[in-house]
Amino acid sequence: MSETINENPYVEKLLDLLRKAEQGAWANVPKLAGWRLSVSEGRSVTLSIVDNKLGDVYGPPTARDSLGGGIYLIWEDNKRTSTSLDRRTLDEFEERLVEWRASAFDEEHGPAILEPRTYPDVPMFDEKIKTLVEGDTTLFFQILQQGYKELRASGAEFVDAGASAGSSSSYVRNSKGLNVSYSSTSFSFSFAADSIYGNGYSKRRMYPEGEVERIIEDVKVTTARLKESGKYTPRPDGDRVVLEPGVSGSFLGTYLLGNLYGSGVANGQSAFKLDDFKEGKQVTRSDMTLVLDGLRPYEFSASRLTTEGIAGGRQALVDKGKLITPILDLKYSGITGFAPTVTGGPYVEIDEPEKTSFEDMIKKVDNGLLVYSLLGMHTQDGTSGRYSVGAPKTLVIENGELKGKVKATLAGNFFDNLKDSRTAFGWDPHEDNPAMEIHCQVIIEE
Amino acid sequence: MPKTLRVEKYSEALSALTKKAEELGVYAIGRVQDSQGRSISINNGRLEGISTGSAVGIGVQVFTKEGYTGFVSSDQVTPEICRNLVETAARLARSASGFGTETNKAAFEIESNGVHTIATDYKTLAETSYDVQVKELSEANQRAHSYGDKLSIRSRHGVGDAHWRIVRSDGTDISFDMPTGSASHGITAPGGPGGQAVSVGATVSGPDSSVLLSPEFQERWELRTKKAIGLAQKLTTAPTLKGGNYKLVIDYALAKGLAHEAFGHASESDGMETSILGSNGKMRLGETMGAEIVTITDGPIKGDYAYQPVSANGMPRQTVDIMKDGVLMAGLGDLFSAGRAGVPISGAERIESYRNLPLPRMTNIRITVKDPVPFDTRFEEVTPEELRAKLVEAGFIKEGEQALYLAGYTGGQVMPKEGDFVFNCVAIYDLSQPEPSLYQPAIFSGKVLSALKSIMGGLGPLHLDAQGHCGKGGQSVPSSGGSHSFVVLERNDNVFIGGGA
Repeated sequence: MSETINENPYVEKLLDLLRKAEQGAWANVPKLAGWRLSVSEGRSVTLSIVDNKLGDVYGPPTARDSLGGGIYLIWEDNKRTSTSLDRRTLDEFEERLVEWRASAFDEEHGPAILEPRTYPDVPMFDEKIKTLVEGDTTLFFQILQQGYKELRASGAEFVDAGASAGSSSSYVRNSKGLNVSYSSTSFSFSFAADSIYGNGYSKRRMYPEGEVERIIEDVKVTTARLKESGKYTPRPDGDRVVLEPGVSGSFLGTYLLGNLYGSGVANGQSAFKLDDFKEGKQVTRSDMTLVLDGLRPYEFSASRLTTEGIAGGRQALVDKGKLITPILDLKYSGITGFAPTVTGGPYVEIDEPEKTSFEDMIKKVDNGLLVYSLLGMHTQDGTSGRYSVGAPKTLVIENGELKGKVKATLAGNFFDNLKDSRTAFGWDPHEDNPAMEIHCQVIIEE
Repeated sequence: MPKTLRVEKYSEALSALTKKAEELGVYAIGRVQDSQGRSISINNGRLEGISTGSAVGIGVQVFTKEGYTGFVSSDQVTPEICRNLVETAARLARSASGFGTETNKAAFEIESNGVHTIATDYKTLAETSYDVQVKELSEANQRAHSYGDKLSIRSRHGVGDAHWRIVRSDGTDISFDMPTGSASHGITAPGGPGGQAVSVGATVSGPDSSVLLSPEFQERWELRTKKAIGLAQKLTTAPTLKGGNYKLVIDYALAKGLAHEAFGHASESDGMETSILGSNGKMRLGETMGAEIVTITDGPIKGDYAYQPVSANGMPRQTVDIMKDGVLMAGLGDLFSAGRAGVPISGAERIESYRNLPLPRMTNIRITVKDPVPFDTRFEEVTPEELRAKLVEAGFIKEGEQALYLAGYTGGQVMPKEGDFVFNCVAIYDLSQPEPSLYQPAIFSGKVLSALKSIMGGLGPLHLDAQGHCGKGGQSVPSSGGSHSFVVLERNDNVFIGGGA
């Protein structure tokens, strides 16, 4: 579903001022030779439960209005400026222009302004959410109160929860005639019990029927399991460890995706070199593909175009285990010689005759662990592949059954895990990316 | 001479805000932010980018007489918008009351903090030349490359000049600034045959561009850079340590991590109902929580990266001994939860932006120990060998005893409700032999109280510039702190180093 976008007075006035700057209306700065900008204006509303307290000072009903964006300027001497836009930019335009010029610099491989092209129309807007954002947020209270009551009744001592919705209009323009406007919405809610386990919903459209109940039930069941204590004796040669989809995503984000950014690759700050991409180096098992996909309807990753004007789409970064391309904006496209990449979310695809469900994956583990959360992932050095992380919410798996919680520390090298023939994947129908079973060193903290 | 704060120009709008609140019979707190920032990046000698930004806006929190609350924010600070914001926030608060939301009347129980301005005299962005910043950063990048082979180095310099103004219905109207500056190298040493690439960092931080331009900061940054590069190159082939419980020596940056992650968060009054430092919602003041030589203090330091003199609710930020000689003395108390946590308000509220709600949190947190062992060698120049010798001389370790020296802090995480913490280091040295062996970093985890009770002593003077950002509640604010050059922790079953099996 898309919405007709009216002209935005802020954007129209800004375009008028930029056109004047192109014509040299301000003598104290050079003329502009080109520009591109993106502006987003919208409102978001939220409500929270913090430590059992609904809507108190730390999570009251809120409404936030904002306008913001970014602008990239090319001056007539080819110097470049990159800066943010805010509400006052219009009133202070001449002053800002002088400041922007002061911060202009010679940008090696500075990109040109792109000609307009065709952009996909990805569904990102839900009228029901816009209505909620602009009006009555009773639904928030209903969702949170339902979760609170059910979780407390199930034995949770403390419940934390939140609900939020947003609606915004975005405008992408450039000096070559690019003129794209679109609306998007967002809706999310989440519940957590006793700071042990949480789950939630987050999309660009309203949740489907039964989703609130499904998530509350998952929090109830998983929290109860994580409250039972378990025992586990690690093996000296490593253990079978199942990473639930969110945890698996955290590993993939840090060690695989984090090494694919063009700036890092081109400047030697990644585990992968540019030549690795040119040669199609095998970095994961050959049944694994990683794509950027901006075309999935109503996902947060949905995107029509980048602020530079690259059309949305779907593109492999790693195909059948081989490096295909780094993630590149126009500048690093010019530096590396690869085409610029689309914008979108990262998704793992596994070439397998039949998808194994997350539940079946656990059933296949005779003796191992299921990890629900990590502590310290953000402190890891992603370029080395090595990890040493806390896993405080971990269930023991015995003969395919879940048997109580232990606190573990995991250590290993994720690059080795990605190539390991024993690594397996399992799919939860409510998650975009798979759970992973890896083998690594485990230490149990008593 | 103190700088002129940009938030002075919003007097008319803020007057309209408080008048509207009075008309509606509600209590309002308005928080105006007017921030400017600049960052420069040099990547392997190439000017990668200069970016500038600004943010202006207001957050308005309203309380009805019954204590129901609503919050709104806008990026426009005009009289008309402010009146509308108060109306909307009051409507949200009143509509929420029908759903049984929590009330909080703390704002009605305090007195005005008056009308004043606390402005620093650090350099504004307008007083700092782009050309000079780019030149100095380029030269620093070039010098760093000369300290090793085949290094990749991204150098960054950022300065921020955030001006704030807090008004309340009780007449409080306080303006202040929170200037920041940092200069850092992200260094990647390539992995050779049989080795993996390793990334490390070297940073200095302070209140403005002096972190890049002043000789004092330049020299400190240079020493840290040399040390980091030397370490990165050795780490590419360093082995993994066996995980377990060890006697530990941590540097001051890691000690800051211990204070911040393992203790500071647990002392914040908003979480006292579930914190391990609380009992039945009240902070366990007067109880012994650490070794009797240990004092933990939090408070703003002018010129520090995390400096904030006034809270986001307009209360003066106080310096608090959270733990004194091992005994729990005070919490980091905010206006809204200090009372129910049984601690005084210490002005601990901070926010990332005008769009956020205040939470009690740390500024500069430090661990000090009684009678630290003098250690005159400059921190950046202490070698593992010299440290080991000093530890033996001071009686902290015996010849041949296994102890690990954890060097460099890369971040941490805590679960205050359970008392579990982790943080990570750049490298580990085994000090059991006169020539310490280097190992890969490993996660340092444990139980808060166990860790604090394990502190045996400290060596060297205080260093309080371990800089970072704290992400509590999804809001990133500058944080910093430190300790003596080195702190020694006795082996403890509840303090654990990850690693191989």
